[in-house]
Amino acid sequence: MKVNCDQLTGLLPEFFDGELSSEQSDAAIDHLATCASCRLTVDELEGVRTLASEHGRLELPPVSKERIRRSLDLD
Amino acid sequence: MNTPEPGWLFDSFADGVYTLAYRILRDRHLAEDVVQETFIKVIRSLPSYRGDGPIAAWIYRIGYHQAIAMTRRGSEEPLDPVAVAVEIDRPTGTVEEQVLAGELAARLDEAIASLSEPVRAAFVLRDVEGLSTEEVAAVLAISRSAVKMRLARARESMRSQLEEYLT
Repeated sequence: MKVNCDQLTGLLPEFFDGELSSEQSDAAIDHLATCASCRLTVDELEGVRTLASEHGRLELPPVSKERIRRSLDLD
Repeated sequence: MNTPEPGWLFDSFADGVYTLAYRILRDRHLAEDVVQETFIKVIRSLPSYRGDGPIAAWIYRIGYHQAIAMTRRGSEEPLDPVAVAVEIDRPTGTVEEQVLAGELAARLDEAIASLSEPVRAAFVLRDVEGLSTEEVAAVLAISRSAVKMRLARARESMRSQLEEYLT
C-alpha cells in the first residue's frame, strides 16, 4: 500500500491516536520518509499537541480551591 | 462498585474542569463558579452514579454543560490575554524565561480562544486534558468521527497560528 500527500492528511487523526492498521501505518511511515513537506506538517502538529498538553492546562488558584472545598464541605 | 470519595474526585478533577470552563468562558471568576456548581452536582449525583462509563467523562460532561449554560447567560467577556497569561501561568526561572513563557502562554491563549466553541471544547478535552477520543465523544455527546473532524480543524488552525513556536 502507498499513500500520497492528500491521503496521508486524511489518515492523520488516526495516525496521532495510534489507530492506523499496520498496513496504513507502514504506508504513512514510508511516505513520511520521502516527503519533507508532510514530515514538517506532522512535526508541527505534534508540536501543537505538546504545547497544548504542557502549557494549556490551568490551575485553580489555591485560595479559590480552599474556598470551594469548604463550601462543598470536603474538609 | 465502590463509590469514589468526593474529596478525591475534587482534588483529581477540579483543575481539569477549571481549565475547560476557562477555555470556554475566558473569565476566571465564572470558571471558578463552574467548578463549584459542577462539584455540587457531582457530589449530589454520586449515589446514583452507576459506574457505566469513565468517571472523568461523567465529570467533564457536567462541567461542560455548566460552562455552556453560563455562556448562554451572555456573560462572556474576553480578558486581556497577556494579563491572563501572567496571572495564570506563574512562570519560574530567569526574567528572560519568564517573559518567553508569558508570551507563549498569551499566544496559546489567543489561539485556543480563536477556535469556534465546539472545536475548542474538543481540542481542550483531547489535547490539553488528555481524554481519549472515546471519552471526548461521550462528554460532547457526538460521534468519534465528529471528534476527529473537530480535532483536525483545531490542530490545523493552531499550527498556522503558532508556527513560530513549533520549529
